[in-house]
Amino acid sequence: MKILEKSPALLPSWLRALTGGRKSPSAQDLAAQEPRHLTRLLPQVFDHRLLGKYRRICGFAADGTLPMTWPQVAAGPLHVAMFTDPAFPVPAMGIVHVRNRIEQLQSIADTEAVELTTWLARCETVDQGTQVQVVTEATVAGELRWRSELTALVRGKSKTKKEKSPQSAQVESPSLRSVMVHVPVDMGRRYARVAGDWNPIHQYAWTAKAFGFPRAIAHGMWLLGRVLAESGDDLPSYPRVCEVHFRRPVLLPSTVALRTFAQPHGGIGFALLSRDGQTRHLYGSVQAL
Amino acid sequence: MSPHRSERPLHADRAPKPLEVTPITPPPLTQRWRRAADFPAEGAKANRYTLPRSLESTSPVGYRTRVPLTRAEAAQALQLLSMTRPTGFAPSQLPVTEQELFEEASLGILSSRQSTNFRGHRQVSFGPEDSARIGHLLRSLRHLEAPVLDNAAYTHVILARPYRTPFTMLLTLAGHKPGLSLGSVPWRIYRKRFHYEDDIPSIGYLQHLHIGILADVSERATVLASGGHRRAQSLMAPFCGVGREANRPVAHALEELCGLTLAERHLGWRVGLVVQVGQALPGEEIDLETGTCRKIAANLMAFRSERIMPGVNAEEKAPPQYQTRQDMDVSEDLTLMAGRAAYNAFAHWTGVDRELSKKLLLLERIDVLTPGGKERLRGVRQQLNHVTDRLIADLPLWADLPTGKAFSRNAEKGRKAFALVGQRIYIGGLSRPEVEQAGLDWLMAVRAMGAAASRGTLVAELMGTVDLPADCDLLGGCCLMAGPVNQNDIGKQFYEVEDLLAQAYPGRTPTSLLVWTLKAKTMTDPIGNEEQLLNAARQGALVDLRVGPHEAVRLAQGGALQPMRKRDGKLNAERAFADVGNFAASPDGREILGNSGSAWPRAWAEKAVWPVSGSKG
Repeated sequence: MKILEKSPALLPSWLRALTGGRKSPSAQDLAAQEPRHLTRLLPQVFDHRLLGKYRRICGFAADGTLPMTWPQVAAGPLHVAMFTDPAFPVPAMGIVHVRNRIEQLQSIADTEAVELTTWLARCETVDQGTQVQVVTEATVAGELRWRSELTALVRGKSKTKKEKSPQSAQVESPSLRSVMVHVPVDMGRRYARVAGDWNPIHQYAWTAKAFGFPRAIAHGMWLLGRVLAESGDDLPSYPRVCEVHFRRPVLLPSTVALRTFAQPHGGIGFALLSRDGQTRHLYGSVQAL
Repeated sequence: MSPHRSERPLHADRAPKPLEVTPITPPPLTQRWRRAADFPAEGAKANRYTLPRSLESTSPVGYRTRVPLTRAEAAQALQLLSMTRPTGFAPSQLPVTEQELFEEASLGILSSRQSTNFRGHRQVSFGPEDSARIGHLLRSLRHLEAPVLDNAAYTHVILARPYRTPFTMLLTLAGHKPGLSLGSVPWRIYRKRFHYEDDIPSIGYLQHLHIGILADVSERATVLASGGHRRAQSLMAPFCGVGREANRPVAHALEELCGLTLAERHLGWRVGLVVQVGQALPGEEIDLETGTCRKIAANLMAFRSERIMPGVNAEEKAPPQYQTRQDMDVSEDLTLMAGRAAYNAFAHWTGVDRELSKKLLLLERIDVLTPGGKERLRGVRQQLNHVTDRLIADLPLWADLPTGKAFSRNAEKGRKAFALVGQRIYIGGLSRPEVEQAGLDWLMAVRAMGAAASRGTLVAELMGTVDLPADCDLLGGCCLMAGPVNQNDIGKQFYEVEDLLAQAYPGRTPTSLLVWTLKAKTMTDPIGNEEQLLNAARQGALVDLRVGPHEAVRLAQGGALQPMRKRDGKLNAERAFADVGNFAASPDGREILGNSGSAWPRAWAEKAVWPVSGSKG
């Protein structure tokens, strides 16, 4: 286990990522059950300026507590360092965020010192490629306050023919909120300056093209942050869990529609749709635990 | 501190005449139909009769539907159309929240009936301490039409500018002599730009008509947004006509408080109206139930011009239900109430008694369903078409040809905009000599005329929601226009055409100012008409009317002027009174993306805008 006093520098990690070649997981990687690449960042109070920028970029109101997505953003440099580690089973470049589960057990004041721990929990071959699951935990004075399971995919050649998802993605329940969100062309770079995620698929059209995207795509975590910031007053109280599925990338620039709606058993559901409502970019829910 | 009441008692013949609920009878079941617009089918092109897929707007309005009112609820709503001025304000007990102020602005400046494409009003709102200072300034004004009140909880200062749109650009080219136009057009442009002169007088009156409408709307907005607990005292006489001349220094001081820049002054922005708002005195609250209040408010968000009469003026490509006539009429009783509301408003804003109000307000009523009405309407249309023909024929070719005849095409389009369709049509105006003889300022009377017309039409709109059957969108609507009057004015100024009211009021030198049409029908206009005002991608320059709060309202806080609902990079996406849920949807209930909006963060919305002050204003 690595124990760090401060967040790792991003530049060396990204240089490693750029110079790192193609790799694929070994049988040992795929079979491993125990946590690997375990890293702990010793307790620290987050940089208020950076946190302010994050709140602003996503639209979170400054209410004295950490936004639900922030600990994961703060753990970003740890994740980048993990993904770019030569021993990490998949290449960092082109890795795509497909799913996330965030449990927020209790609020964390933005003045509290938070310890972050992260590890690779699983690496498996799936139909679309190789999938990894990274767990992150945030504790305050030894008490677990927040936990996340991030699932990311490195695309490979799919063995089965991809089934087209149903086109009509409109949510039929009446909206709690329905609002258009403009995602500017430089959103990826603006978010990267705050979150440190300089993955080329988010930066420019020409950098994204190298990984098979027609244009740069928005960060999934920014989209989720934007959704949660917009839904702030409707979220269930603590402890709560957010589950999100990232389905289709949001190309930059674009305007997407955010809809939230009440779930039958409490909490809210959300979906980010294309402007014409025909494509679902992400969907998920926030429920009381 | 005891509440201070103004000393002026309300003379009995100046008291507004109460309005009565006069519902519109729905047509037989076989003739009831709704808009029932749907999203375009996959691969099909969207048009004005299909629902837009999405709405991206900072305006509080959105695409709305009317909310049915019971007769009891309508009776509560009608109180708002015959209010007297408050005699004083009680000291404010509760702070004003941002949400209340947003809702008030949404019913007021952000949705006040204005001409398309005219962003002519801005509002700066001041808290109690500033209101006290403004109160001192206001007391030094001459030609005040009502007393300045103590204890104002807040004060809105409304800035207005002359009416300038692409239509007025076209007017620059009207009425020039061939051969001389190369010189006379630039001279006209110079006079318009630097001396605020208008091509025709009725364009100059538009600014004042709009201020009058906004003044009337603001009184209701205050009451509705506060559930009847607050009242508004609107003052506009010192800021127009002779009042403006006499009060330049004070008006200038108010404009400075509003942060008016030199560049804005050069564009003609000036203070046009001041609205003091305060806690209603005991006995002067308006009795409204909260639920009713919100239903009325949501309806006010939904009302918009209804231009189409099924079976009369729908275009060929319109769906069949727009092509079929409905056996409906705007009843005599309702027409009477609409007129009564107009006289109430004119008396209210000018301070004259009702009898004089009825004498001064010149209203020609055309009952279209009668043979005489048909004949009269034909005459009006012929006159307006004649003016349009002359206007197009006389446009200087040196300006029209290089623009691909854009000006003549624009003038041609006007014919459609001036369509006079409805069961009852009113042409409203004033006689300047008679107004001045009555001791009234002409421009102040023009403002009162705007208020009167909008209040009259509002009666028809409200009654169009009473006992509204589920198979109807509405039972009555209206369209308030200045276009026909402007067209007539072009004729008056350049082609020796007589005023629209000349036949009805011979020998009284009338000046027509507004036209409104009352329509009984069950189906609202296509949503494409609304979309022109809300969707920038659809109509480009036409999109102007539905402004966002950050564009039109500033709040004076901590010595600075903050745009309303622009904070931490976030702009308003809330639709006012969204809790009523009157949003347009497809027949199977699918929503227009972005239409119902997203509430402003509660922590910001529930915050007091200003601390409560105990000082007198």
